[in-house]
Amino acid sequence: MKKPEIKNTIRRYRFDHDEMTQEELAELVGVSRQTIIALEAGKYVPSLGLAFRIARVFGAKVEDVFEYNAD
Amino acid sequence: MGRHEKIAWYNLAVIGTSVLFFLVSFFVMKDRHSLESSFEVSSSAFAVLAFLGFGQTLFRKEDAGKRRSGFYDPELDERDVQIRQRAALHSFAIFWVLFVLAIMGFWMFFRWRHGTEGPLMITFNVNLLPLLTVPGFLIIMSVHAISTIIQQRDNIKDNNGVQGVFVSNLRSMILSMFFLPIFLLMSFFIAMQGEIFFAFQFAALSFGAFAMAVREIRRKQEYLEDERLVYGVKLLGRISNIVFTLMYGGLIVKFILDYSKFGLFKFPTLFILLFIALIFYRTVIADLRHYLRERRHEKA
Repeated sequence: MKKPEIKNTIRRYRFDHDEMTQEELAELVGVSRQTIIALEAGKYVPSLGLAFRIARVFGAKVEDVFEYNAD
Repeated sequence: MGRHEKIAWYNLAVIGTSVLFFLVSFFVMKDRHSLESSFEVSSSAFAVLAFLGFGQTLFRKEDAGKRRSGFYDPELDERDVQIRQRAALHSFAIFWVLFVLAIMGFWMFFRWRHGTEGPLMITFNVNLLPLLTVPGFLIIMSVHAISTIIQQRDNIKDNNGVQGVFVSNLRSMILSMFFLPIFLLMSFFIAMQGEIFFAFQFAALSFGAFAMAVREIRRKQEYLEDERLVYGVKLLGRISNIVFTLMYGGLIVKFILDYSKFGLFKFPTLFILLFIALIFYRTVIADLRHYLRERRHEKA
């Protein structure tokens, strides 16, 4: 059975970006820290707009930060 | 703990306090005064509910306003909105089930106590009528708060994309499975009191609600890992669809028969028959066709 999942590398990107805190990222993309926690834990799938905003903060493409896993 | 979780806890505390005040006051008063006046006076305890309005102010974000990044500090971000919508859905769904159970419970109680013969009239103080809205409000607010707390705490465990929606639907179905026997038991009691038609209608509605819950699961069934569970859900959906359609078909036939007694059989009946055919096609024929198509695919 297929089990689609959207994984992300937000945590790695944060550390690569001068160990940015969750609070700082939340502030930059306009959400609460709880939402960043849920995103990093893979327990919340963001809207397309939020995914683009996060990628833009890290200067990366959306597909680099978020990965669709269809296996 | 996030702001919205704090507000939910605060709301629960306020609701709990008002209910506690009401109960204590009612049980203290009822020994000295009539039940009616004890109820009326004790209901003043619900004034405590006014504190619900302070939640947003008490747990206001201190740094609310425009941030350096240009975004406004979100009082409510997209995840909070999603949690709030689902909490609203949960609260109204639970309220509806409890409302039906309460109404039917009262009806059955009075019938059981006063017999089934003839109409039964009861009188009550009309001033109590507005107070009946209070339990509804309490149920909706409490379920909303509990649902918000669970979702915020869980980091919305069951919100893992489409699969999360499935888990949420599975929970709904389990809940429906719990309520279905209760409703059927009520139908049985109603039938025992000689109201066969009413009992039949009530049972048909119960199956209808159950079929809707199962249909939701079937839409997400590709995310089930166990093949046996997939077939179990499919079978359950098919059976509940058929039972619902047959029961409601029977009710509509009875409606036509009653209608025909007044000599109004022609045009409305045609529309009703077309409606039955449509429902029958949508719920039974289309379902079976889908099943046969799947079987063909599997064989191929």
